[in-house]
Amino acid sequence: MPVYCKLAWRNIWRNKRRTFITLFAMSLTLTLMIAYSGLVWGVLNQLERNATLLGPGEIQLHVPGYLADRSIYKVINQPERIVAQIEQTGVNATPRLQSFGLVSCGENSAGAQILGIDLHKEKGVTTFHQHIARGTFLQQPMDVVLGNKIAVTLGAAIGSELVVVTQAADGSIGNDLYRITGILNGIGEETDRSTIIMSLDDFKHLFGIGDVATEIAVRRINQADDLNVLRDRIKQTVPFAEVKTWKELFPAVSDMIEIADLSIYILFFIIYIAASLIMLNTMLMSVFERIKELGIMMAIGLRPVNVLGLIMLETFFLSLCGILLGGLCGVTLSLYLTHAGLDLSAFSEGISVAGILAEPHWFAVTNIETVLPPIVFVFIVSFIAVLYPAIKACRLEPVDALVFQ
Amino acid sequence: MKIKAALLIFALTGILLSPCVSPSYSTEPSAKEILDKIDKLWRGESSIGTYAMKIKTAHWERKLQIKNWTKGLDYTLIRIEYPKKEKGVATLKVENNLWNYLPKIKRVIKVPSSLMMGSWMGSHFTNDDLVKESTLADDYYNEITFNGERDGQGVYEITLTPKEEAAVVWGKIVMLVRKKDFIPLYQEFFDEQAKPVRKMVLQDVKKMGGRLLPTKLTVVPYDKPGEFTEVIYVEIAFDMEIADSFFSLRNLKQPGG
Repeated sequence: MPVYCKLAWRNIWRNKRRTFITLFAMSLTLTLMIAYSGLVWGVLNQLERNATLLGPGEIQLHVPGYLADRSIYKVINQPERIVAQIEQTGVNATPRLQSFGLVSCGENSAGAQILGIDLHKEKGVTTFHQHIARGTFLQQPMDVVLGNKIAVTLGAAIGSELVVVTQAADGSIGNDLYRITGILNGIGEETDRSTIIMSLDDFKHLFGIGDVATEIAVRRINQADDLNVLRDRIKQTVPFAEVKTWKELFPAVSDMIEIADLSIYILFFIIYIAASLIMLNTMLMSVFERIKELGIMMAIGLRPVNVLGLIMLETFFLSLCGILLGGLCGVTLSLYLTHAGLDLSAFSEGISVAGILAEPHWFAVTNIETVLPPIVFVFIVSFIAVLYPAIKACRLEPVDALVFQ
Repeated sequence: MKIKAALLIFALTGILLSPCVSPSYSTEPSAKEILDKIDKLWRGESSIGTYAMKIKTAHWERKLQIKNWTKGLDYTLIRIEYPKKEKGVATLKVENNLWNYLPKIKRVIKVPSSLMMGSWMGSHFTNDDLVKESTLADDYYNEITFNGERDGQGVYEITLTPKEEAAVVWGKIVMLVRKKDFIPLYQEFFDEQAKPVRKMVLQDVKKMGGRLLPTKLTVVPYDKPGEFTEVIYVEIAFDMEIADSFFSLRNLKQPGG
């Protein structure tokens, strides 16, 4: 056996040009596949993060029945105390108030969803404050921040005044003047089109309500924690509330992300096939090229099975080299994309998937899940590639092989 | 008259059919004739009225006193006089446009078309009720679906179904009209799935402002049990001289009216 290994190893390097071409095809394929998987998983992860970080949070608590009609009368009392309790389970939590109203800026007006947030605690759960396109986030009382599409509808400019009219909790007409201090990036269709954000205190004043919240939003501190386990733990802490993960709250969004996952697998498959064709072609040719040579080996006494074994050994060594080279390049490229990212903002402002923003600056992820499958795939493909010519070669009569064209 | 007009009239102005039209037909009038009679009465009319509105919902109950000016179907100005917190809050309707004035912040806001089905000042009337200005006879096919006695008085039941091209919100309206003087007693509104959405009951028919009219009407939404909005006319005067310029944004902001 060591003889065969030696033979195989030498065979590889006998024709350096052919070997380098094969190695190049193999490692290029592998590099691209590793970088591509990294990038795709990066975008999907970002999508999933944005689905929670730019809106709902990961888990939400409501009073039972709130979700059916989003009534401002179905509230969680003493939200501060409950938030403190929830935070003991190892998460960040923040109280929120939400309702609807009529907003007007100059001549223009529109219906809006009004979100009241705790300026300090909200930052532990969502990242609205990092997604300001113009102006600043909420800073002082009577500041409001607008979604970017409703801002266009209203013709709103930073610093202009915004009138908000609602029905207060006692049935009277709640109305006040606010200052537009910031406009959000595009972060999702619904938010863009209809949301205005103000502080919890301003919201309470506008609606004439006391120390309550319509919602408590939660985010894991440790992303490795299982969401469902945390949900159950929170449920035990706050038994009266309806506790739901964002996947339960927005099944359409999480389904869309799952479908995106699935379609990515299909896309992977197509990309892999395309990439492996490059490799397959080179490997195929390199064996066919040597059929005469293999015929000679058989003529001097090698049995067909030995020839097959030899080709497989060569393939093994060759793919090992290719994988080492390609893996190294691929992981390097993927790590670069993980840290520097791929900035597509020159081409697009970001796309929206199921109403969730995918930002135009893509960051890859690099981990065993993005690196290992391409390696295994390349390995398998290279064996499949040589199997056909190898079998063909060792089944030939030595004489035929010698004259094989 | 149109639905909106009907609501507007019934609900907010209190101008109703004058008894002098009480017709003595030799034959039964058609549904169209009844609607036209009602409609004609309203064209070009003006009114100044005061009424008390009581709104009851699951969470609160409020009483408002409201003063109301109308001219024809195009112009309406409504101003809240009581309670103190909302004194001066006003709504102006000119043709299809609706504006609200908020004295606390001294701002006028145009109600966007997307909120036309929203509640007017928390009541069970929609903004759309105030704005609509085509007539029931124009927008709906009409048919007398009952002619006889109910609860001891002769009535016509008229069923209205929207014409294909009409931009209306209801799928069907059923009206009950008193035979002897064409005073409407009851209206029921259905959505496009033929599900009843709300009803309006018109009661306490008496002479006010020189006309015989129901002076109390109640809107009851079917999807919110226990809730209603009730309007009772305190006083009303008809055919007053009001200039078109009275219904201006400038005047909307003036507390004196």
